[in-house]
Amino acid sequence: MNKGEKGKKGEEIAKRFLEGQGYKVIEQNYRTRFGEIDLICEKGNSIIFVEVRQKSGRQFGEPVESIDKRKIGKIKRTAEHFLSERGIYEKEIRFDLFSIIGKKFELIPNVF
Amino acid sequence: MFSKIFSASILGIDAYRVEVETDLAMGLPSFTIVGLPDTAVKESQHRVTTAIRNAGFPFPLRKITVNLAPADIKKEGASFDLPIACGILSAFNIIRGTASGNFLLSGELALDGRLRPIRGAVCLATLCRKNEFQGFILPRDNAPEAALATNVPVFPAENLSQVVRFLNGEERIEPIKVDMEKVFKEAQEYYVDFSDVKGQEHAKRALEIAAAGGHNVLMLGPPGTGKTMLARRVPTILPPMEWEEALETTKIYSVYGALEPGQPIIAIRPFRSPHHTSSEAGTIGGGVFPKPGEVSLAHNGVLFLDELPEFHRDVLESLRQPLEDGFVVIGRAKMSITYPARFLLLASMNPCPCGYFSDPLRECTCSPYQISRYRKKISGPLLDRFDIHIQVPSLRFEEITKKELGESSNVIRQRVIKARMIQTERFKEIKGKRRIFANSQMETKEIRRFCQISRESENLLKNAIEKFGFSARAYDRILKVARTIADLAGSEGIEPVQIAEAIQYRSFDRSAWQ
Repeated sequence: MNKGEKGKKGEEIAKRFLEGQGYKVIEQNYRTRFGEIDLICEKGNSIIFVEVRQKSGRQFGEPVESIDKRKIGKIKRTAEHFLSERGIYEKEIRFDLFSIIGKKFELIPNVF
Repeated sequence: MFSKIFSASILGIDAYRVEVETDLAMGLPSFTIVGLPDTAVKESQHRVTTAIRNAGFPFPLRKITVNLAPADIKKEGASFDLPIACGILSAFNIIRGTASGNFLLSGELALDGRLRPIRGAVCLATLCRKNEFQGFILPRDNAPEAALATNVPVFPAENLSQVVRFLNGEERIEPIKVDMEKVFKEAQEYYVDFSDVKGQEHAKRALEIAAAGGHNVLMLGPPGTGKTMLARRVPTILPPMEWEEALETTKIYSVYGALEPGQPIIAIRPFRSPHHTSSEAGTIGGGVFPKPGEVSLAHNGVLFLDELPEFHRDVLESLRQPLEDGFVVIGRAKMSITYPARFLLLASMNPCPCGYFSDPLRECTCSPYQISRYRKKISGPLLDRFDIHIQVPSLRFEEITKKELGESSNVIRQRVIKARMIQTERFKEIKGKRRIFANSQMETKEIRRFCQISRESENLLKNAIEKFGFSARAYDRILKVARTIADLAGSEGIEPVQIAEAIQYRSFDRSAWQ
């Protein structure tokens, strides 16, 4: 299994989990020239941008730690692009992190 | 999704009102503070965010814009935390209604939502007028001092959630009650007394004259003869502080952050004794965020410079302006700040670097060159600011072991008050911008008018001038001191004996002591 496949599998886990929680996934791997967002969901009056991060174990640090300032900037710019493209202005916006360590996973809301 | 909260900030020792406007808009969550905030105010967003969450409230995921108006004055300090937090909660409708606009809010937030004390609460309180605000909400530790300066109810708050419940009408906070007269009376006790000092009658007399006429004093004497001890007791013989004076001094301490908890007002005349290594900013005031210096902390009290020649020269020279004007101006490119600084200056120095020159018992080990260099550190213009120069010699054994106590401060103070009353009466009629309170503030015009002397006294002065080589300025100083001596004696005119006493207080004038 190479990196791409592994990432894909992580995203599938996240998608299934979120849908189980009542989120509606409206975009997967949304790409612009600014960057990429793994999952974009909708729930109630909120739009949630989800970044999926996985690690095989804890020895290389937590998934949360692997997101730096530059990545945050990329995601925010991509999100802005998405919102203006769709003309979404009156929604609450949230950035979540879906963290997978080995077989465990959790959704961390409001990471930045 | 908009709210407006009132807070205040400080420029010098005066407060001005600041409107904290908060807007919550949809869009990518962000938090911006505008309106010329300094670093501490900008950092406030992190404290506010965390405090709101930890106090158990949801933090709005909106585009938050906070404006501190007026936008052209630099806002400093952490005291905007509470108004910003309340502004956000009010715009988010967690604080309901418009009640929050009727109060003045100020306070620093801890990360868990508790309130930390702020600086300058007294000054902020003076801004609360009855018809404008229903109350002043601030951290509990600051409440007593604030309550002294305003007639509006002062609400001491513990933490953010308490403030929110209070503004929503869900909880009552008892406004703090302070018995001003009682607090003021109790705070007027001194812990030292002139009767503690043995001997040195000559110096005590000179300090009494200084206290009566507001004259600056330079004390010269070997180490350990009680110069510091004497200086410390000078505030106790000055007239007791008036309420207005006390409030003004308290404001300076509050802005400086030197008010101790449980000490809401400075009701005794301050005694400040900065170390001789003090910098100019520390002594006069200043710094990147201007703060009052020692001269202002000594406002309405005594500034004592021990080991005068050891002070940095620029510090000593910068004392000249506050000594003349009674305030200091700290100039900055964008603004200038004024701090009051009216104080009695006392200074002490040794006669030579080793300290024992002219001591009857110990031998001085300094060379004449060292002595002259040591004394030259005090410039002529600065020396001129001291109306009274006295020698504080070593005590003999009999004097040290003497059993009977000297006069108590209270007795001396009564005489000082009497002399001050004569002066107030005398200068009452002087009109113009410059107000005179004491003999030491007289200028040539007033001296000519109020210090007329007889022919006999004139001759005495002439002799002294010729013999000691006094300058014209010294002549004026002698007359002023003589006027105070006469006031202490309750005499209308100046007697020759009073002139004679005044002359001896110039004993080490420039030409005479080198």
